[in-house]
Amino acid sequence: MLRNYLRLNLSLLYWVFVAPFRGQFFKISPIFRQMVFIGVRATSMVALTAFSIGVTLAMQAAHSLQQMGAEIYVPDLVMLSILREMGPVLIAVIVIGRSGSAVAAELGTMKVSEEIEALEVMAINPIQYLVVPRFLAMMIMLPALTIFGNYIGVLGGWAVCRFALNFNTAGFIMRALESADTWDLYSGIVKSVVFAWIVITIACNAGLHVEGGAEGVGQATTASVVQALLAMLVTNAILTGIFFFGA
Amino acid sequence: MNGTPVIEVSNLVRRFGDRTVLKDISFQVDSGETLVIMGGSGCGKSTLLRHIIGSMKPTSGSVKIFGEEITAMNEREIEAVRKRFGMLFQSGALLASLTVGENVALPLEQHSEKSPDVIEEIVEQKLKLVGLSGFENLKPAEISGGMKKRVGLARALALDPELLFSDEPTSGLDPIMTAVVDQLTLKLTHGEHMTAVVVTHDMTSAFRIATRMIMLGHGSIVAQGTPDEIRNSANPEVQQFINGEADGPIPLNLSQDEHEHHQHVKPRPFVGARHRFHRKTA
Repeated sequence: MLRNYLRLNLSLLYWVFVAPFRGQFFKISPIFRQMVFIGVRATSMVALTAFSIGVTLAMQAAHSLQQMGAEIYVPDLVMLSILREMGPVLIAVIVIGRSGSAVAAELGTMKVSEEIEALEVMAINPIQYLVVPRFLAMMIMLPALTIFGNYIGVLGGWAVCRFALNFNTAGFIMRALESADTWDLYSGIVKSVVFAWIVITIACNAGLHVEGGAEGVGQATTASVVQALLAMLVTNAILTGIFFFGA
Repeated sequence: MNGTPVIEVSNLVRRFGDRTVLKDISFQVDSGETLVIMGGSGCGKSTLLRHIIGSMKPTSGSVKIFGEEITAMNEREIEAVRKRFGMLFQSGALLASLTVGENVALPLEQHSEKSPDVIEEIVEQKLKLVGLSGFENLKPAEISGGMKKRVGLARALALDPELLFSDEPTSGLDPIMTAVVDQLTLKLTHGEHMTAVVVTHDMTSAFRIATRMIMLGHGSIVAQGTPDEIRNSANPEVQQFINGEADGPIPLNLSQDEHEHHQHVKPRPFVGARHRFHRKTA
């Protein structure tokens, strides 16, 4: 299992970074098709999730900070939590549940219906033809969705501050921008790039190694979601440690 | 160019664990010939085919295709050989996400420098060949099983291959369409010197197209020869098979044992699952 996963990563690296310089450039149109499927169609879910998280964070922060008379720090807390942690992690969760599982199921179905074997027999490399577009689409779209989600999340925080805590909008923006560093934003984006890699390689690996018909497809899909979630959360803890605790 | 060997299989042996699935298989297919491989379910036909196309490696023995040893090739060399042959899968194996036209165009887009206009024309022509003109824009899910198979044939022929492999090309087709596909095979092998290797259960079709036949049983060759030699064979197993009789020397419990190795075997939950898992990964 692990050996298959490493082999997939290696051949992916070859097809993305080496093959284009040997005249085997990947086609652009399938990447856009996958970007729409993996990313664009997930925007509404991402927006709803991020908004809810922003609102929740602001409410909880307000509750605790009010006791110390420090509601003024609610924007700081919302901004930092979303940019550093909640944004990248929760949006990755949405994408794992929605797009990662779909990729695993799609490739798995192709595997059991002999489509992958047919590609190989037609001398079309399945990694190049199927995995590379999905990989690149995910590497572009997950960070993009994360930036988008960050905005919406902060908007949720603003909504609570503006309508429940009677901040004025300018005050909220001032506080929020003052507390956050550009590194807070960039660290979140770096995380989302790493998560994108984890999610799509796990999903593709699960799909490409399905065995045993429809039942196998179901198992592979479940496995891809569980493995991707665990790997993503553990990686997040490690990255937070490296980025913010100097470990 | 008739007579030059296109495929040479010699002493091919394949074992899965301690079971031997292919036992010392040797045969040769010459250019322009149509070889029909027949045999009961699970006798090793598909495994044999997979060895010839290089997607499985034999335990021992040699497989030469176009005079080159495929068992010793790396992925890249195998890909170069695969561009020279077409293969029709049992289920058609069309890409469900592409339309019928895009499926037939796929090998052309990937392996030729032809312009989109020329590709479109070739696609139209190949679909006409299999009697499916005007179906370009349908998805595989919208057409019947027999039609999928014919699209699979059109796709296999897209690059005008020198060699065509067909895995049960006529199962699921009505008798008329079977005859059409058979005539197409005959036309290509006679007119254009294509070589064909056909795995089939359909005896009418087999005798119609074959120039030579091989019957497999228990992983070895039971009989081989021209259609006439096979029809007049004294071997009772051959007679039982070509006449489709339930009683005879071919044991019925064959398939269960033979199926164990097969990749797509449906797992029986909880029955020796761990044992099977280890054997599969071994």
